[in-house]
Amino acid sequence: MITCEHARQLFDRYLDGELSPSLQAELHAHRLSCSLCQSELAMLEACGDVILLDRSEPTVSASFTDRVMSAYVSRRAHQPRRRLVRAAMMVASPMAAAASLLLAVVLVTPDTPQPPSLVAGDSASVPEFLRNMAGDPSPGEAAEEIKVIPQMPAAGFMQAWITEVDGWTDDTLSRARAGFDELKLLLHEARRDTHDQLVAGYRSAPESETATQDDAIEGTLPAWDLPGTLWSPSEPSDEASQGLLLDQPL
Amino acid sequence: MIRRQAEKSAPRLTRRTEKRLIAQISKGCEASARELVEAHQDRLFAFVWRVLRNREDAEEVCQEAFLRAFGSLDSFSPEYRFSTWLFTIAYRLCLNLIRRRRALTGELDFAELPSRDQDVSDRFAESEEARRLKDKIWEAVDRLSVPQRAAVLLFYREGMSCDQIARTLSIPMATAKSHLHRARGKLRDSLSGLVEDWSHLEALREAAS
Repeated sequence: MITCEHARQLFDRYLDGELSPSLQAELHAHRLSCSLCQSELAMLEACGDVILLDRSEPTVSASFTDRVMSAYVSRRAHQPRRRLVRAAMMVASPMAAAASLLLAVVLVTPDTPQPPSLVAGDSASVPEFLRNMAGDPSPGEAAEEIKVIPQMPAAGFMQAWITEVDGWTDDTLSRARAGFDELKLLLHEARRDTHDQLVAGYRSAPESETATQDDAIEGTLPAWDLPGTLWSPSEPSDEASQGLLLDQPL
Repeated sequence: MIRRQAEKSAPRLTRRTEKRLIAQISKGCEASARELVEAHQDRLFAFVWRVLRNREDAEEVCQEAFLRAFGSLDSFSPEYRFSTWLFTIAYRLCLNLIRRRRALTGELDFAELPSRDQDVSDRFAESEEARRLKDKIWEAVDRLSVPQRAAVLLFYREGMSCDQIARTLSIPMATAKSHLHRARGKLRDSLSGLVEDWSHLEALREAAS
């Protein structure tokens, strides 16, 4: 049987739900025999139950959701510029990286390949056609020599570098792609906003023949809501919308 | 010990629904944003109100937490629950607000201020004794330090593990555990003289459940 002191040391782990089953059994056995520990543990459990289940806090205002949503819509209206900059950065940074990479390659790569300098006694590989011209009787030996020629130290470095660059390229390409997607989305949203403005203005114009959202769907107005449809400012169907477009620059 | 989820709050979203809503919000879907706000606002407000003990401040913090969460969804990692992220933002906003208030009013602790929301309806049917003890328990909770109170609320009300509490409060797990354990110690000290034997107060637990 555990003592009160030991039992109290186990309280937190028990309440955290981290006590092993055997120690839990020990604690329960002690609890049944010790009214002091029983009361203390019951008090802590009661605290937990009240915190969990008692809802005496005030409730959130009925208008809270609407307020959050209107603030959200208002903030989003200011976001496209930031999103545009971010998307442009996403597209531009890989391009800048590619340009600097190209520059690095141009600067690092020697103008003409430098052959290894040979001194008397060194072995060197001889191309097949040269060997044939010279009537070399032992092509096998030449092949053997090719194997023993050490690689230029730079070759290993270049290979590692190319592998690295390959990795960067994948990464930067995917970022650029994400940037292009973002730009496409922004363009789509801009088209939709312009459409909404046009339709709203169009409806409020007293003398114009009413063009509705349905017209846009039917094709009377350019369907810039549809993804992939390119919209050009010269397309609006009549003078009224043309005028609106000029009055309300994007 | 009873570890239960808070059954009385709004039903919690499944991870799948949460993911879907977040993906739609990223595309600009306002209805999804509203759904996510409605799913979390009660729980978040209860937590923030318990930390700040002021309705206007709590609503302001909750609103800002939602807006910041929506504004930076691209930095949200789907391996965590949205609620954990939301509570993290809200808790930091609470701390900022408390710091600002302290700078203005000296070392005044919010918990020592009487609540301005005394008129809240009590939906907790109970005996006089149970109500008295419940009030004493909340008073003891209010006297805890802000991180201790937050840890206790997240543990009991939100059913978070120590690991999740640590992530939410942006502190090491050992510190989160320490806050929780010290909070229990303080609650024990505050409440120990009140009742001779707490074990016969099953009525309190029954009333609570």
